[in-house]
Amino acid sequence: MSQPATATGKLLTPFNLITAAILAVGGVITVLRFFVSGLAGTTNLTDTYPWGLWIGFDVMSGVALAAGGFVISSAVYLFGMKEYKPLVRPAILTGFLGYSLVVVGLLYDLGRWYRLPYPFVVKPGPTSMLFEVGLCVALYLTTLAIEFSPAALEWLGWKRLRQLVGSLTIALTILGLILSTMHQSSLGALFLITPTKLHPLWYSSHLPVHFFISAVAGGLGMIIIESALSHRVFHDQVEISGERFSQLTVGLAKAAAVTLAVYLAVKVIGIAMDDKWHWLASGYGGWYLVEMLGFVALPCFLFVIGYRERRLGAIRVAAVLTVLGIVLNRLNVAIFAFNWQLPAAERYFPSWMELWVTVSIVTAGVWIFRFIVKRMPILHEHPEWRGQH
Amino acid sequence: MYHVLQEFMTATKGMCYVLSFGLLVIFVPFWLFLSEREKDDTSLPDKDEH
Repeated sequence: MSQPATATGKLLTPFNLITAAILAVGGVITVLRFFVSGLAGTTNLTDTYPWGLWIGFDVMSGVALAAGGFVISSAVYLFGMKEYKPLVRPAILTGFLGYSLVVVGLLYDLGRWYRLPYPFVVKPGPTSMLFEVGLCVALYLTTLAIEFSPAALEWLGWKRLRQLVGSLTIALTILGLILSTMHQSSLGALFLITPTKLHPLWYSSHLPVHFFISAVAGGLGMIIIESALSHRVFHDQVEISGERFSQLTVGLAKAAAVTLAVYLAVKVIGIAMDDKWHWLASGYGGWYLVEMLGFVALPCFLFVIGYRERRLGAIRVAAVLTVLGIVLNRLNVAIFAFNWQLPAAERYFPSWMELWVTVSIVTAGVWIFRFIVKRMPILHEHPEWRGQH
Repeated sequence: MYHVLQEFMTATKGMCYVLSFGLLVIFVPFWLFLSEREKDDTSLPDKDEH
């Protein structure tokens, strides 16, 4: 593809109308949340459940699913798997948007949202795990912004700055890998202080390891889904052939199969280590088995079959199951299996406004992704910068 | 006897080591099954093509 595709098109499409309506209602709720009734009027959060959907989904799941950026850029620039280079920019963009929306979701959840920079500039708490997560996310978001900037600079035609940023690629990739490893695992470490609140099947002294491995699997799943959708929706932008794209998808399936197999093994060893087998016979045990068998073992099996038989359909189903499984795991840890001993009447369920804000944030992400992909060289290389970092 | 063994394996984390070894052994056929068709397969990504 040598010509940048046109960004103009019909404005009144069903997609635009539906998403605009979602965002309009989300805007009204935003005004209510920040300027009228606060957290109490818009959420079902309590002192028992200070973290709800906006943390469980928008932050915990958002960070995990944005892991594709560091996974694929590390594979290409650090481990020499250069055949996957066409997937780097879409993955970096997905990661950049994902982390940006994580911060947006965090702002909704913070009572005094305007104090977000306080831990860095006013009163640091370097002994807190939350401080480490916040610092790493802030630094990694900055790293992702710089990693993404070549596409924007090529689009703007700022050649000297583009050249400078391009020369930083390896350093940025290493920094991104370190920061991601740290905060993906630290998000799990946040729950290490909750052994009496989190159900024993989900609680483990190895939660940081579980979170990190599952984030890698979730990131790979997101890359497969996002690239398949982009290939279909933005086919006029895509440069690589359908055959090569299929080869890359199949290659990712192998990585995802091994990652999920390792994750499953680590989880089983965790059950054995703390002798939690008897918990599997309870109601929560059934729910745990649904997560492990339906959203870890099954997608692992489908990835294996998809890789061996070159079945793209099986690989995409497996990717969807993997992503759903990571979301389910984060929701289980943060919400469903949290405060599990409380009676049903005292359990948390998100209000419709919390759900709507979450849907609005995801919708905004899709809009911004579409806006950028239609204009900047994300799915194709800029003719003047072909073959460069 | 069974309960004594179970308690011993739990207290010493012995069960964990046995299981880890078993899973490591299982990984070998898993890997062979996964990569069985790679030897003469030309449909995989070409490392020189980028």
